[in-house]
Amino acid sequence: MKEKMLNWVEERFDLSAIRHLTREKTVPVHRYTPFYYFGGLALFFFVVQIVTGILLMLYYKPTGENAYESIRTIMTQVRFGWLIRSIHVWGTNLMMLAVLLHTFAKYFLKAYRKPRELTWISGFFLLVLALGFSFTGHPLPWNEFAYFAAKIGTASIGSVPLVGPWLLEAIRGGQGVTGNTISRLFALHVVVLPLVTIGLVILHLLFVQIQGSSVPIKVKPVGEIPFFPNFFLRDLRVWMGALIVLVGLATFIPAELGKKAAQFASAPAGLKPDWYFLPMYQILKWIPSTILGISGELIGIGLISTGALLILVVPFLDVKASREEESTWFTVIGVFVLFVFMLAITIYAKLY
Amino acid sequence: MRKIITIILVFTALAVYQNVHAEETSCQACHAKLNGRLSEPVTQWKNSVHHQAGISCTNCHGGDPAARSESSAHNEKTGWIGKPGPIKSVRICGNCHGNELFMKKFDPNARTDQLKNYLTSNHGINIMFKKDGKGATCVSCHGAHDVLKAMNPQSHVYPTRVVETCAKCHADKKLMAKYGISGNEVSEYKKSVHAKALYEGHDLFAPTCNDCHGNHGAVPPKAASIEDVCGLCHALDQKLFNESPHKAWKESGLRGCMECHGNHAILKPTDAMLAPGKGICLKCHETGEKALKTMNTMYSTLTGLKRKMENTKKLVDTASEKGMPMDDALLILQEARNSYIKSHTAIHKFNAAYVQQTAQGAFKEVIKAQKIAHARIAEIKKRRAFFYWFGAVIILLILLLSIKIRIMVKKKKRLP
Amino acid sequence: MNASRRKFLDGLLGLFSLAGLAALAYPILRYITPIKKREDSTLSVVASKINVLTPNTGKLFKFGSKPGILIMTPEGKYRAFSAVCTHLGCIVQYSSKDQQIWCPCHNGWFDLNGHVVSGPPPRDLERYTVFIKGQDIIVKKEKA
Repeated sequence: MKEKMLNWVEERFDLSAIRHLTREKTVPVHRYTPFYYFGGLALFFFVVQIVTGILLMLYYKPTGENAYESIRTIMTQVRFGWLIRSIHVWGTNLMMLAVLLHTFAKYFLKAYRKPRELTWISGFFLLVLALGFSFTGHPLPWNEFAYFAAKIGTASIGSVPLVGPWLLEAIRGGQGVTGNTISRLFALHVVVLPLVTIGLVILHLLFVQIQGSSVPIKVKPVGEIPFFPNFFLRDLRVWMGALIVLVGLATFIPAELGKKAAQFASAPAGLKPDWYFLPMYQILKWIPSTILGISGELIGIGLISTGALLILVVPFLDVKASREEESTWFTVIGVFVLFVFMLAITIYAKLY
Repeated sequence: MRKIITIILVFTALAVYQNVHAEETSCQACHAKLNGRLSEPVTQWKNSVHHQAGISCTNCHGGDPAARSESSAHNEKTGWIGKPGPIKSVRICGNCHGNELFMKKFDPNARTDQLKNYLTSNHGINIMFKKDGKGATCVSCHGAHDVLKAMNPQSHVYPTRVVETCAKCHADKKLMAKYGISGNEVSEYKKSVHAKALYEGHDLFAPTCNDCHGNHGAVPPKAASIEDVCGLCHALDQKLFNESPHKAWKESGLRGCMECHGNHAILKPTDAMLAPGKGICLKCHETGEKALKTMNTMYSTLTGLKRKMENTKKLVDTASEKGMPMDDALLILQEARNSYIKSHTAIHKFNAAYVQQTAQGAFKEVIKAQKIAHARIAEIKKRRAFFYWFGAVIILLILLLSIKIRIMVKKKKRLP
Repeated sequence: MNASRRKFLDGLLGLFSLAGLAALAYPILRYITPIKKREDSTLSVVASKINVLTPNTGKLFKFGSKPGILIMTPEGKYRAFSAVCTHLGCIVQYSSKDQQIWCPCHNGWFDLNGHVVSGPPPRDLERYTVFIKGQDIIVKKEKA
């Protein structure tokens, strides 16, 4: 029966690619193999976000008048609404964590080196898109915190040279943050970003598929295991663990709703962005308002963009790694700049 | 002909205009250059309501504002007064402020009864009739040159500043002793719930000195009127009090509200005022009297309600901390708070059954809120139970999967 | 023996996978089922049915998490205000005798426009818009 059905499909479509994936794709085994889980984990959380996001759309109303009330309805009246929303909120955090761990892992294993430069670049843009999801999604409940997040977050866009003011108005849908802003952020959050992200994820996976998993420099794999079902089942096991953590967090610390946004209310004290934005926030806070007549915000954005650009072109800077030689300098810079500095600045920003 | 009239009109208009807006009189020109006490009035006056209304130095001090020398400006022939004494100063203020036709030009609702009232006050009697020169005059409270409208925050008689203004004299024990006043009133008032509302709550309508004593006709409220004074804001309490066995307080030589609440240091009333064995009723009533039984019942009703409300609030907060939206319960609690206040007001009828009946309304509401809180806490438990079951299933799945993976590894090792 | 044990393991795995999937599907299916209750919204609320109030009476209603007061003026027109007194937050009531709104806590009075008439309240009561839709009297918060 199964055979017959497969044959029926086979007559119409060439299934060799899928057969290749299920039968021949292997994963190298060495002491860094567990690092391969992070990418799959990020993908898992992304799927969770898509599912819960679609569910939230059944009740959410993206207008200034109704956004808050509709979330309130979800939280108080829709059965399991609290769970779906709480999972979506916690999912953001866990997905960012998985994406960042994946990025760090790939950086330290120098997985970006030739021939996987394009995988790294597509991954970089996926990281930016993940931040974009948070940025556009956070204001949607239209509570006090969301409102100021939108206001302060979009304000920094305005200092981009030349197009800044136009871009600011285009994102806000006017001079100020209003109901129009919700419509625009909503469109970005549920249509534009998912389309781009899904496309890029497919590309990213295609690169991995074509080139196989990268083995760190000077590491000799002790063997390899088939991706399907051996590695896939391990992936599945990790995902189930992640699901327990996610549902547990959502159950014990459900997402809050807070007060409805009021346009003329003063900002609540101790307002800080989500933890993954803290390094950027802190850098912008440290920079004085003007340096040599140039706006500090512009310099801050310039600095952050330069940093991001450096990360983007790492595969081309790290020439040694592309010759399969150990590039200790990049590891050291990575440890101190990417890891220690970012962690320290995040903790500092969280505490002060 | 018409042209000539027009020209004349324009010129007279210009002349009048110049006269009114002659920015500098010689008074200001000279006094501004003097030192200290003699120049201060110029700046003070410039910020005052009188400057805005076009009332100038000569209106009170007389003299010639166009004069070129000190002697011609300060000439008694041109009506120069100099610094008016207390009686004179009251008359000067009264000249305008008692003149309705004049005052209505500036404000159609302006009151003009201040002088009349003042003459009935102890301040006015001391100054104007006993002529002891020690009572407060207009300028003692309103300032001489820096007079502002009462609701201007800079004014000496603005609600938050009026106490200090009265304190200038009334906190002076030596001075007050002459009039049989203790001089403690200001410091006592500062302990009161009214002062707290005024200074900490920034409630401009909280009573200060003048709200009970009047402002221009400042007299102590006579014992007979104290209840009406308090009743201005505490209307329900007054109504109930008049239905109580205490309604005949005047005949018994008592002082109404004051007997229990005091006068200047009126503290926030507490349930402890009714505590068995310690309550304020014991001041007059003796052990064994029926009145004390009423006190005890009222005390247990009110404290019982308070405990119930506090416990419910805690329960609601617990549910809220655990992530449940508690708006509805909080709304009911707010309504209950109203009933709670009402049942405290109810004690002024001094009828235990009435207090119990009033408190019943609050009890009902609190129980409603309590039920909601219990339901929400049960919901939290249900959610967690769901998670435990779900978690157990997934953990078992993980374990089974691990066994499966191990078997696969073994199988693979055996095969080749 | 080994094969049967493996079969048992696979069966168990299948069973628990089904249980896990059911545990995932159940909340989702419940979530998708539309709610029957009227959506609660703090921007507009049904304050009362018509024919409940007679001229020169008032009643309290729930406006989100705060009380509101609906009044039928002596002329038979509806008006609605926040019932939270602007002085210390007590709940106000309608006094038919005086045709004014009264706060019992410190004897504050408001007229039928919500303006302070006398007593300690520092501000007027917030006024809401009232309109009638079928049998319902709907009260709406005016936009800021």
